Amino acid sequence: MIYFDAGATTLEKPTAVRAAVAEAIATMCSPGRGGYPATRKAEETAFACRNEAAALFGVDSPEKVIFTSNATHALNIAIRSVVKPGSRVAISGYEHNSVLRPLYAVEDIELTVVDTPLFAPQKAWEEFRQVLQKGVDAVVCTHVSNVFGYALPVEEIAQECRYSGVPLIIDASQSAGVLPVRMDVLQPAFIAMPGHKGLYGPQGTGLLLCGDSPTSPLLSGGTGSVSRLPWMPEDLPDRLEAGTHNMPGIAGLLEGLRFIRRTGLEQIARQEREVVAAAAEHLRQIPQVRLFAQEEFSNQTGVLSFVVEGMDCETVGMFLAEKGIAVRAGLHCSPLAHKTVGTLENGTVRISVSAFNNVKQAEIFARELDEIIRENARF
Amino acid sequence: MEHYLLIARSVTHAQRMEKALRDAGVRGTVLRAPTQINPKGCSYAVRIEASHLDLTRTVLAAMKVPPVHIYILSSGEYREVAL
Repeated sequence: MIYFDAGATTLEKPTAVRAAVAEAIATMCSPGRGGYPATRKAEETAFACRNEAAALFGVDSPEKVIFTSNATHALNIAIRSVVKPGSRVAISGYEHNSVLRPLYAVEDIELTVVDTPLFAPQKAWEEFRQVLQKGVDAVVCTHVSNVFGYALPVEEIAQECRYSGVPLIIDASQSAGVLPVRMDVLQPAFIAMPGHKGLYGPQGTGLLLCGDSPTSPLLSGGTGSVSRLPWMPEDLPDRLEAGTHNMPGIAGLLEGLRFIRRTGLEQIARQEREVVAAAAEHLRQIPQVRLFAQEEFSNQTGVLSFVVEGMDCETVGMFLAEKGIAVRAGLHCSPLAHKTVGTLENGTVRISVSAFNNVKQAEIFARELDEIIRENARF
Repeated sequence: MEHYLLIARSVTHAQRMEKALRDAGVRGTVLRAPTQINPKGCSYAVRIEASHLDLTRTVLAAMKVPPVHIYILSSGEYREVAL
């Protein structure tokens, strides 16, 4: 199988990730819950994971690295902490439902969508600046569109938010592990990310990186600390981590983070771009294919969307699956991004790659797609 | 044996203190704090030898990870000392 759906979950993981998950199941119980070796080992693993993440993402304390179930969980905590009923919130036109739905769940919010064109970062920066000058209470922005791989100008948006004193939440679901994502540089209120995509951890893992903003727990419950208090502790990370930790997931995530450190962000990004650039080059030769790609991939990561004129995107995805190629078709849980680009009605087919893909796979994919289109046209 | 317990806000805080001390050459052990010095219930501490208290204070202040409380175990009883 050629797996081109890393934007949903990286299926291929470093060997050490699988080994760490298996070892954790056999040897670790709950961190912060006892003084015996199985808890100590869990505590040491969780602490090592927090430190590894803090180093990679420029967080000034491992206590500000919060374990979550996924990016959605992390975004819900961040939005609950920053966005209050009646808040005025600005978002990009490329947000995932993991941002939209938690926002819509807040009463009486006033939402401004900065729906600038695809691959136009300067325009996005300017419009965010104008919106901030008019006055908003918070900004939520994805770093990279999960549909189009478009890297938004988060550095500039973060700078504008700092000037305006407006808290910023960054959704790094598609950029963590690929592009530089630094709390110390961007200084947002929060950065949310999954563990199971570009960080190569297991499903059921995610991280919330906290700045200095107040936090509101999403869940209340046991933390193994200050147990007589009838409310959640004030201190991180316990304040935001009620309940037993996913230690097999955290152990796997630790190894995923170590893999990224050893491989290097630049190498991963370069390899991913090479694969999607190769795919794009071949797809440009197929007249029925409409691509959403930059020529140089300067503001685009290893995510590439396309449509085949005259074919339903889900049908294209199904035909590719029959040929052993895994892609994602439809709206990708991001109707807003499709609305912004004009693909809401029919969606797109998306390939998204990881450090485990190569150019040869891109060539096979393009050849198989070409064959599918020819066969479909014949009938 | 006489020793000090550095009470932490969380197990992660205790681990940060222990690491800071280890990096400075001071051996500390993370452990669950005894109930009698734990009025809020369930906390962690770092145990250090009595002779290391001054260096410990200096290191933890420099690293900005001070303990919440410090207790000394002397003659079988814990007694709080100044931070």
